Amino acid sequence: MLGRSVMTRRRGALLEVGAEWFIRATGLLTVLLLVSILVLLARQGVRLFLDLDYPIDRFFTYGNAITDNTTDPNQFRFGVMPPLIATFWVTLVTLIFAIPLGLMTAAFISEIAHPRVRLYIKSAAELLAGVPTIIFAFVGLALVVPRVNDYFGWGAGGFSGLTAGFVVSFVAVPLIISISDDAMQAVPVDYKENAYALGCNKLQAIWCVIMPAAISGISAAIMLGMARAIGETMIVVILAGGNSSLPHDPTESMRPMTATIAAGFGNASDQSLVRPALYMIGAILFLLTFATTLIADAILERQRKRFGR
Amino acid sequence: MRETTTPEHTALEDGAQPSVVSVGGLPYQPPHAAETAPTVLRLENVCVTYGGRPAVQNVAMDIYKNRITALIGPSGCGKSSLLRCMNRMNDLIHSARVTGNVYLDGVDINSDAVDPVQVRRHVGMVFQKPNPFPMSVMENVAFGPKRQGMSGRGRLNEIVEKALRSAALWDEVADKMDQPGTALSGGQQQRLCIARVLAVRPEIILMDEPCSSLDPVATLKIEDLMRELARDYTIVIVTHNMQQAARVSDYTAFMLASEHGVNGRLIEYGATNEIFTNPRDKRTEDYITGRFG
Repeated sequence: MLGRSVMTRRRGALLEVGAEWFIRATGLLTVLLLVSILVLLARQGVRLFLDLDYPIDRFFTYGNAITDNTTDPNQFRFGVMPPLIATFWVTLVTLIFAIPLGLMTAAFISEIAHPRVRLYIKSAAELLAGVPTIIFAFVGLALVVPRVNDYFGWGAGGFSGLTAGFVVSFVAVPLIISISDDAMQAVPVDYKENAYALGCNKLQAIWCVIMPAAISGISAAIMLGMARAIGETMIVVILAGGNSSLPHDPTESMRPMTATIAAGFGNASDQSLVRPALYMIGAILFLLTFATTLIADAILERQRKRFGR
Repeated sequence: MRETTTPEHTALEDGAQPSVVSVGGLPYQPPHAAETAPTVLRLENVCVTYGGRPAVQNVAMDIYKNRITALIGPSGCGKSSLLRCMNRMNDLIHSARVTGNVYLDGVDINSDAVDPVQVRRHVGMVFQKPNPFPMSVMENVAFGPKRQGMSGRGRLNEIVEKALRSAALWDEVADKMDQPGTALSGGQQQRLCIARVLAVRPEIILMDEPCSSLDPVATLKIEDLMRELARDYTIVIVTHNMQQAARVSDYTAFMLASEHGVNGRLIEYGATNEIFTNPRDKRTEDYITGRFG
């Protein structure tokens, strides 16, 4: 039987309960913030259809996103598809470059390189992830755009979705390296030793055992890299070309969702229809990145459960 | 206990080259070479250090063909490190350095010129924890052969069935080939891991405490299996369990760790019945009679 002293509340308990509630409240605040962002964006966006009578079907089908400062719904011509497709192209190009580069580097530092080399490369990657993306845009402007123009002549003088996607991939790569390396490190050492003991060379061990075992973490890394590419603004504003019509392939000049908002917001007056249209794009963008991150989190959680850590 | 002529059975002085394999600098020849099993693996002056810290020192011993050799000794005495020298597994640990010679059929497998991947195809290894890959039973056993470029459903099926039969697992899993290997029981998983090694067709199988996570029944099954396998394979087993060494092995090597004044040295090596009934070294006697360790 428990003694009385064990059963009664200690004096410090009140403080403990208070701290617990405080922590709970901060957690709640984050969720509240997320929800209110979405509500704000959506409420402002929905005005376009409800108050300003802009036809919803035109919003989803029109092949251009003209950010004219008009207040007349009959004159206003704005479709969400061009920026959405542009974002799709840029993201696709980013992933095409970033996935192989990121995964190969991660496999190298995790399984092949000396631990010290791994430390250097990983710190370099993490440092790279902290560089403001406008710097990447500058580098792209100086190095990539002229070459794309000279050799391929794509887009508007080298400014194209492909150019932007290529440069964005350097923002996504450090993220992919860091998270996939963590995932491969988390693969139990027994798997690796078993693979080698069965006569695998390094590549076979990586490809047939380590990567499949780390697949959840690797997919999460790719998803987060993707979210980064979808949300990237500065680089696409500067390098994607800025054409607001529907891009049919990634070599065209284009204006992704983030760039459309950034470029259009400055000169959109309060009364114009551009503002709510941009809010609507913002809401869609938010949902897109939110969903991607959420999926990545779910996948990472699955990996954690699988290896019990 | 199988009837074998034993190699010369000697107790070793601290720091001395074990005379069991090297007498006066000459390679050791068993006294009745014709009746003894031939040597498949010869260790000479093997040392292992981890980040400069010695784990195994100047070990010399012969491993005999189609015999089971047990490495025993207290925790941290370097028996696993020594075992890992026999198939270059220490290569995977960056801080590890292995010196000395390990001759497999006359080739020094510890030389830089030798590809560790090839070594491991000749010397397989079973680990402490049964660890099937997260794949089907079939895929697990076919893993090694596939990595060596073998293909063709029929041929692989044949190899897999043979390996599973040799590992005394076929009857239990024949109808579960497509189920995940991790769904089997602990003992079955360990036999699956043994089958996975057999499918690579090694000459030697190293076992690093293969029963330490199994229940007594599963342990006995694995021990029976080891006796079966010794007809076709040479087995070296590290074990904490002295009864197991006594039950299953033909030869026993006793090692000691630093807290006993030596760093991973081979103290005594000889026929198992000799080691257990008539140890030459006081420390061996103390250990097997349970006075420490």
